[in-house]
Amino acid sequence: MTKHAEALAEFCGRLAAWTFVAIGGMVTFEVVMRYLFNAPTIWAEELSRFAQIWATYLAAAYVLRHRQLIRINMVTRQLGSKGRCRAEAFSLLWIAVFSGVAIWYGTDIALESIRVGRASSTMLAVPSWMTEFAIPVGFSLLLLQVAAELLKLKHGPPPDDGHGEPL
Amino acid sequence: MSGLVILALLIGLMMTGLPIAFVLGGLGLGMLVVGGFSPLIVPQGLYSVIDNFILLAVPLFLLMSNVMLKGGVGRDLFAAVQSWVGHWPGGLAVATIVSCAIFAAISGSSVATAATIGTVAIPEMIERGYQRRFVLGLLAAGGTLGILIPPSIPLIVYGVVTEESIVSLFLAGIGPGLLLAGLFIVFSIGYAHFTKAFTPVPPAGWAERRRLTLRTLPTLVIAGVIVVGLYSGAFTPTEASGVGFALAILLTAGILRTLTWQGFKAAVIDAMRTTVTIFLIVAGAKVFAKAITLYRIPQDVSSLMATAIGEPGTFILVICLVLLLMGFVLEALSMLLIMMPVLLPTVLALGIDPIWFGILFVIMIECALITPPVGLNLFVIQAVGKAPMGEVAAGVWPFILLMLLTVVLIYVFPGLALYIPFQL
Repeated sequence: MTKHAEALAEFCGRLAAWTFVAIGGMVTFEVVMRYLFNAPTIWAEELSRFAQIWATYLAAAYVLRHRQLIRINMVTRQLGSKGRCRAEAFSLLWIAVFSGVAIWYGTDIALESIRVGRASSTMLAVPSWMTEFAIPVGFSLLLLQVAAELLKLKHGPPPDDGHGEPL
Repeated sequence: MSGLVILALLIGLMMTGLPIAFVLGGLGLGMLVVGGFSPLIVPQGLYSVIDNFILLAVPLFLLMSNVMLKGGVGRDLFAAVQSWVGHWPGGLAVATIVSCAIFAAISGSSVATAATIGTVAIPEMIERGYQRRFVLGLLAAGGTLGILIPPSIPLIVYGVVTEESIVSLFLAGIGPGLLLAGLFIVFSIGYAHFTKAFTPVPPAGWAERRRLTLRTLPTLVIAGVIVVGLYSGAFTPTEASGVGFALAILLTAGILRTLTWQGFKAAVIDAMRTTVTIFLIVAGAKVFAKAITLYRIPQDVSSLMATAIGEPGTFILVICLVLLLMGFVLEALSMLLIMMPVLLPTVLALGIDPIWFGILFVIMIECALITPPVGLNLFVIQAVGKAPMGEVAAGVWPFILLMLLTVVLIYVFPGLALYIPFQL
């Protein structure tokens, strides 16, 4: 199960990465159309924002798996293997609870949007649920990855990996 | 009272090693539940904060600088600058700072800047007899130019949090960025002159200079297109980042032919990792900011500050000290995202220009990040330079003093930051 979860996280991370590249394409296309052909699009801005929401939450599980989330390891670094395992389990359970809330209420919002037929107030009038589902879907993937990480804890604490990437 | 409890929880949770994004998001959620507010605010906040056209500039600027990095632009840039100033006393140090300043104009991150230039400059300078600790300190400090000279990811996030113009913030960063670069250069020349701890580089011939400069010219053109495009209003920051990314691909894959498909894939994955890491903190901070606003904490802090301090100068001094302390454990964006929602009402109430405050804030954050013993940027240089922490720490303090001097100068002469966006 761990293997499948990780393969899924990996795939979604890559998908998100190329989505950001596609966003770059859309933004540039818009600039070119506006300046060279004086014909701005009605879709580039909106679609790139929507793609950004999906890409961000789809890749949440990926960054958890690759231990990229920024954290302070000053204290946990001093702990023994057992202490590190406990701290890690606490972090994962905390993330699980937060994800649960995001999934539950996020689904609520999206279903409500379908029920009342909510759409974006632009010319494209994109149905709101299409992007609102990014939250429950992304956090479901994250929850799955949390479960995989918890299972991995049986084999000892994760390596002390620093603190993600500061800017 | 509730403010202090929340602060204690915030610090306590961070110390457990819980990722900052979830410290903020989870604590915000807890506050909403305890305060009897609807948890629906959580997914709404997570959604709305990323549904933002301005934030698109973050992944695109990261893609641009990663592509340039993989295309070996840093090496060419350093070689070109060195051919002009390398034979001066402290010439390699000057070349390092100038390269950092130029690379800063195509990169929004201080780590990328320090890593790109550092990989080339550190071995070269040490070979030429510069003291190791000076070299390491120089790079740690030079990297900070990356987020002061536009584009700058912390300034984008600052603008999104405070709803200020990103263009004004970017333009306001130019003056202090150049000032800081100038101070670093003067210090480097003086240092080399007095310590004599370097072997001079023979001056490059004109043919050599022309060849190297021509090779790095497209990079300068990209940097120029971005700054001029933003300044003239031709591009929004997001559009500038998109165009910059496209130009970066064109340059490294088409003209220089240094970008491989493997390199491009690595650049894309790296940009995604950094972006999502940043955005998750931004999202968590949004939930936290909504919760503290519902608890009226920013307003309480503002009225407390107004009665207890009531004077902009003292307020700024207090903030600087707090940031220096926070810099021991936190990285730049977390500091920004935790502090600004709380402080913004106070800044406005005291009549402080929020653009000017943004620049001051970013310099202070950077200062905090290279302050030993635990500044986070020090770790990066430590890794790039393969040096013990003590050595980096010993070399960095003169640069911290120069940065603090810049903070004082900007305080005394606000025009250093505000002239370009508002008077020019």
